[in-house]
Amino acid sequence: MKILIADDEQVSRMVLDRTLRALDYDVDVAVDGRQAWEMLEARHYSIVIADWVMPEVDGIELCQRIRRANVEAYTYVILLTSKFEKTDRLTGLTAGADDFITKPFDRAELSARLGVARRILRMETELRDAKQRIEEKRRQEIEIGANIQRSLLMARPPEGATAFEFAAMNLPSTAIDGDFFDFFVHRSTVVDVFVGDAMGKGIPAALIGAGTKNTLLRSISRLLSDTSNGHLPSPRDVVQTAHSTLARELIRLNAFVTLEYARLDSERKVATFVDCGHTKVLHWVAKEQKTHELSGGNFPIGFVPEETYGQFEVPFADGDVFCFYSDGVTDARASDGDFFGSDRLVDLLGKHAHESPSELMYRLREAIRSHTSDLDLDDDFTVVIVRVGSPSEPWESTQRGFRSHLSSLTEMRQFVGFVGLDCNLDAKEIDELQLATHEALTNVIMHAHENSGQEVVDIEAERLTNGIRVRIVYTGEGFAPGEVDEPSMNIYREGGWGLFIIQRCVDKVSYGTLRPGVNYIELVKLTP
Amino acid sequence: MNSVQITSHKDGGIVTVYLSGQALDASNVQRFRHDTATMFDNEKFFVFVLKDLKFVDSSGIGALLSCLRKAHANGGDVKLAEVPDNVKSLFELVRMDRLFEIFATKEDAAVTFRS
Repeated sequence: MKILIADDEQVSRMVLDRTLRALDYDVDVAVDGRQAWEMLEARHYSIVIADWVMPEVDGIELCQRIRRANVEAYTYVILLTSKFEKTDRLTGLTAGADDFITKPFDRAELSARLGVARRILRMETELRDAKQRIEEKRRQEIEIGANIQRSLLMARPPEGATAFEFAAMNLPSTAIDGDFFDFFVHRSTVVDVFVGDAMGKGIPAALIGAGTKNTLLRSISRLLSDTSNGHLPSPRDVVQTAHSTLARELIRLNAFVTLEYARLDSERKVATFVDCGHTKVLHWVAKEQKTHELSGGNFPIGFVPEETYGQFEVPFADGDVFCFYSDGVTDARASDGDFFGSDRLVDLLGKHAHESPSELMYRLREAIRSHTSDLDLDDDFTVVIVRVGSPSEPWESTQRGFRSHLSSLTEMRQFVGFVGLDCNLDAKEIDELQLATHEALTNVIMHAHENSGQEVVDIEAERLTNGIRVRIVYTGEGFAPGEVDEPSMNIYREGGWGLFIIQRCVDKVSYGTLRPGVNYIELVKLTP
Repeated sequence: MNSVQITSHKDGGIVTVYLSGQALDASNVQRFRHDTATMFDNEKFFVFVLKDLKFVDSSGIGALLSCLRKAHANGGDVKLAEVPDNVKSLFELVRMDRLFEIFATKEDAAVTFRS
């Protein structure tokens, strides 16, 4: 336990120093308040004994500085005073002093008061340790929950259902949630889509969500193996079968799950829905240029032990769009409490339904982000968008040219966001790809083109089986940095994180020359 | 040009600074440095609220660090609050979260100056 003495009177400083050493304390000495503050900035002292009256920085000022410094470990401050009026003590207490000793001091009293200080400091340390342990545990729990979410609850859009185009996205809230979705491809023209939400928050909800999703998939498989004549089990039967396994368990756990189970059949051009208390499905009808909200009347799974599920059918045509979403979307709140609401969602769908699901999804995500300022996602945000009709040629590669100027960066990031979504990257992966591309583009614009605005930068994107390759093609001087180490971080650093960021945000970076005078930077982002 | 909008509000010795815009990045960082140049002359304690800032890049980080340096030089500090997820991930990546204290709300940040 280190003690700092700050006293400008030499005699009293010396007496205090000797007394404390005799009591076996480890002591440092400052000759005035200013020096004491310098020493305090350099290291931590558990106890500071400071004279009230000192030139420049007095005991009160020193006390205030210590309290403002907001360091993690507590510093116990004892003020030395020869004045002991009540008002003075009040000033000292307000400044943050813990105790007072009047000069000349009594050795026994000093020792007793230091005993109090040690007791308080010990309690403070224990409290801080406990708080740290709790925070660490909480952080671990959130991490586990987020991993469950990414790996068990969500799915990537299916391959093989080529009569449809898909986009799916989940933005987790800070509290883990029980949203889930998955797809089951029967054949290229028939696909089941289901989206659900387990009531509650935290890991329990996530586990119930994962269990429900698993049960649904097993129910489909079992029913499929029972029917050998090529008929598909109806969506109603799938949900009924899952219910028979789940309902009693859920009731026992005092939990329930809302679910939207849909089969999209593009041969019959019919969609069949089993709605178990989930948010409405939006159906944009291309022919009418209008959005319908679809909902059925079943209870959520786990509400009642006996439930006979009903299904309903809706005809559709090429170009129609279905949008499944969790209530986290409509309940997303701005800081003034304004909900995003279904009207905004319907409006956005109407305006952009002719675009690809990925573009639509990107717009929705941006709309939610700007509505909530990225905060207050009380609930998970889960959206699945399905557009009917063979995708308008899924691009294998695509490219766009931009004026090489810093003012193009926002537009460039947006383009990278679109192509990333098209290649099934999730929200975090898109953020990382955008950041890496942005840093690389900034280098090109600033160093190869000196931000002249005269040159053109091409961004090419190539779809990989498990990710995306983005290539930035530019004229002028090329550059190829070597290995990039993690930059040491300190307050005096001005920059130099760019290359490190690029390297950490994507899976592969390479630099090269296409032909004389034309160079490229290639970034590969893989999905696990 | 989309520059970062800066509005500030002083209460009880603490200046809350709201930054909003498409980005704090290479395209507008010079302007940001210029706009914040005198901010630290007469005040010490700052809370920067980042919730309406959609994107920050490495040059944005440099600019924020230079704000922190100026505040420290005056015996003050800059704390960050309401930082969007993507920006927070970047801060963690370059370990900037070790230099800046980051709080969930501006109130949480302000309280640490007062205590």
